Amino acid sequence: MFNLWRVIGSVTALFVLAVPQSAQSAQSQAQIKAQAQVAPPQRVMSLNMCTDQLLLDLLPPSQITSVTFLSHSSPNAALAAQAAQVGINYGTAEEVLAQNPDLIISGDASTPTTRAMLARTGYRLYEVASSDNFDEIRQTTRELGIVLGEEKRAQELIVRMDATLNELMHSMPERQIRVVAWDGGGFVPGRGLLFNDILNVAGGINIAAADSNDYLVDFDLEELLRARPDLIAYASATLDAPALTTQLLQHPVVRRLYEDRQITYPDNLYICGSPQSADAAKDLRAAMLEAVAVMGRMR
Amino acid sequence: MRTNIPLNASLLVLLAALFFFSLLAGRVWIPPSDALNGLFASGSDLSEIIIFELRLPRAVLAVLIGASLGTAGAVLQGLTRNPLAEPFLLGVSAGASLGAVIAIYFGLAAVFSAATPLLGIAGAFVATSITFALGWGGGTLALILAGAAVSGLGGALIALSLNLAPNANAAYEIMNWLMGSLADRSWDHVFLVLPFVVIGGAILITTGRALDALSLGEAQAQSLGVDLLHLRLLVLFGTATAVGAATSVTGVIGFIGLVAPHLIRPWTGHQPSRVIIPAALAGAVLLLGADIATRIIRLGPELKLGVFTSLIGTPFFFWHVFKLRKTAP
Repeated sequence: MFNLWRVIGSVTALFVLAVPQSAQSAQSQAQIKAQAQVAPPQRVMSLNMCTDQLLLDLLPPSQITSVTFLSHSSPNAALAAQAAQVGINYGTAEEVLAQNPDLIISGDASTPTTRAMLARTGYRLYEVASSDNFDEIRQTTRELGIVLGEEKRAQELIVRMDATLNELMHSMPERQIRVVAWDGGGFVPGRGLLFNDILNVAGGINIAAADSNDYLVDFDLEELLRARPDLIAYASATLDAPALTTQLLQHPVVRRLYEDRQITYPDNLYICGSPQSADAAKDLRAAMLEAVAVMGRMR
Repeated sequence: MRTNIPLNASLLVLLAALFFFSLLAGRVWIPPSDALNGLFASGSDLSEIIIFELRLPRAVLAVLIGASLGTAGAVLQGLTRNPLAEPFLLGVSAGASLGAVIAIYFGLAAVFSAATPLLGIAGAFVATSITFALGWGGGTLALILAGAAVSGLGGALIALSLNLAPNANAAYEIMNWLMGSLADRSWDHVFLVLPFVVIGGAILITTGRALDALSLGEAQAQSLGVDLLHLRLLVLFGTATAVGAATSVTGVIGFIGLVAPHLIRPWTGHQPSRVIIPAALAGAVLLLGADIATRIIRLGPELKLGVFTSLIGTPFFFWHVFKLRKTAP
């Protein structure tokens, strides 16, 4: 099975780290409006895994030419089912020529050579910045809605997301659950990643994030032991095929001390921000409460 | 085998001091008195857990693996009568990493844990055999070239197995792993490599006398009753066992085997049997020292041990190349 998206996610995160904050802000309102002046696109192609989800949520399948192979083979069954209704692409310029879309949606960091070529050949290209928190998800969804001529649909998605978020905000656990997302590799998600916002909404606190706004934080096993988190959260992708981290996860100390205090989260839902990220937070809340309840019974 | 007691004793004292110091090095500060307690008590206290289950196995592994690399370097330099011979440069490490990569990424390691060191040893054995077969009798240059060719082949095959690995994270991870590290290793790793390192090291140490004879020349050694084929096989098997198992736990750590024997030769002279034991101790001192340095020098994430030893070792390699150029006819 494919876990490329995880690698792509981390690589994207690295790219984003290297780019100054201003450069990754979305296009100006004027540009977006100008894009929307054209008649609503009928053959839209997405070259980026994160824009796949947004596109499939905003447009009916009949108006989507293709989404990436990553969504077609996504571990997220709902996304894979949606993707199965439309065509497939591998993010190459040749496919763009063959499929001849009237609008191309891509991320602002992935497939740089393809995007450069498209810019030269005059295809209509809309680049979507990655969303690292719920505010950015709202903004991205709204802007993409304008570009696609689906403002109402975008608004519906945002309203639905905010309803879920509100529900979660008003039913916070009595005490914040202290969590470290651990993959055994020495880096954990920091405050800058969407993971942090999802965790906070779900009622947890990322104790590795500390004071830094970085995307990834350097955090080693000694620090993990000292921090004494309530729960360790594993990204599910790291567990389903043999890899080094799965060996390191099994460090005897972690196995002994945290055997009953682990949860896994489907990290594919945490890499790309979309209105569905609120549902990810809801699932995380349920998983954490269950794990904490088990802990409570043991004490 | 004559031993240099003052030299060995001073290396042991240095090693003991570094060993204790290594228990203090880490992200979480633990006072020296607690560190001493942690040595003898495997309790549930934070400092006891960190000392006994994280830093102690790490220090033990550094000593075991540093000693293996030092021994292998000294013996390979004696056997080939070539001052640049060492496991990393002869392709042993590349073969071992290839074996370990296959074991890890195709799930063999998950089936039984000894698969990683065993495949590491097999890879090291094959790689070393090829290097010896190609490079024998051609002098320094042929041997180093053969080692480079085997390392290149190993690297290409590692890239291929990553290309085909079922987990796409693998590409990123193995890059990391190949840089060599002792971070977060446990007692499980110590017990996994201990038998191989002991057996391999013991085999290598027994070759001292024959290597002494060989230093007079191949014909002279044969006239003294040394079976050259037998000797080569012993060195091959000993190196592959010790270095193959070590590499499968740490990733690639280069240059310790090159530097350790050279560092102690001013005190031991060039007779191989007098070099082996001090070179083992010097290798342990170097690797433990380097591992402490990776934990103390903070440039962001922890420095990788193999990167550090290469950075320290490469200038030494350059220096040797210049020396060879001067003395070459």
